[in-house]
Amino acid sequence: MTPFEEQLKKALARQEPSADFTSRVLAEAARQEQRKEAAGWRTWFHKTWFQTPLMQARRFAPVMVVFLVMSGVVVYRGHQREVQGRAAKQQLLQALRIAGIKLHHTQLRVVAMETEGTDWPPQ
Amino acid sequence: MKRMWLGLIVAGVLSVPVRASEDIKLPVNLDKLAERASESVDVTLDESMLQLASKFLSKDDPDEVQVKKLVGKLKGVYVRSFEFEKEGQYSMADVEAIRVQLKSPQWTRIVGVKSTKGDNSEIYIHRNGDQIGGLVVIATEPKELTIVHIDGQINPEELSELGGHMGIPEIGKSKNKSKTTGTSSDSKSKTSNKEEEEK
Repeated sequence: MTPFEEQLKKALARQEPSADFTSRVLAEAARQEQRKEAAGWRTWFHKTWFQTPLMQARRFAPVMVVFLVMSGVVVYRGHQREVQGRAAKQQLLQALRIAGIKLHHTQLRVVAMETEGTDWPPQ
Repeated sequence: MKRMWLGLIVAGVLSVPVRASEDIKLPVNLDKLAERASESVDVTLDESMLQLASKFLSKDDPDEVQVKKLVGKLKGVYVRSFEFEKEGQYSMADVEAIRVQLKSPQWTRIVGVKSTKGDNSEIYIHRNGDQIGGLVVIATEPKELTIVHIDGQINPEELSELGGHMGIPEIGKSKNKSKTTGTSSDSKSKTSNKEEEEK
């Protein structure tokens, strides 16, 4: 056996791991997992809050457009309905005023004719 | 199955004229009068519009509370009122189209006041059992024409309660006034048609 072979055999000989090997491996694995998690949150936080406004706007633009259009339609319809309602109220009050005046006028004439045989208002 | 469909169709066809006889259609030619009128009022409020208007009536204003109570039972309010600069701007034919519709048995003319000066008023009510299901007022003057149609259950007392508010004269408190003012009339008027009501 040559000295080289001797060295090789020695190097490749089976060696038992140290007693704390398992615990060290597990500790290292846990550390790496923690690092990964921290990196994930950082990435998410960064993407969500520190990306350029343009990038964010592009992402949320369709949602915002739909939201704005829908709210616009709702507000416009509400406004239209209010305008219509107020106009209808004014029309109603005017109609009742005219009806009341005409009924009153007719009543005065009937009463005048029944009591005095004359018309009202005096001609 | 065929008989059932036939029955339904017949029922539908029969129900149309009955409903139509209850509805008063304001003639289209009335709208043309607006072109000649110096002032015109055109109010068309169907049930949905009345409900909408009712929502905007204040709950705190006693007058509007009264109106809300009145409007709750109405199906429609229609007014056409025209004021003209000169006489003879409208013809009786314009009004006749409405009078014809009011000749149906459901309608009763309770008041008809005529004057030789052409100042005429007519009040028709639609009887619905013991209740009044509608009211039509036709007031014609030489320079003025007013047609009011209130469709739906209406209590004249509720309408008279509106008197004294919102520019409506106080109805029913006019005897003294008429007594003092009705002395120098030269018009020959026919008395009201209350006999029709008695019938």
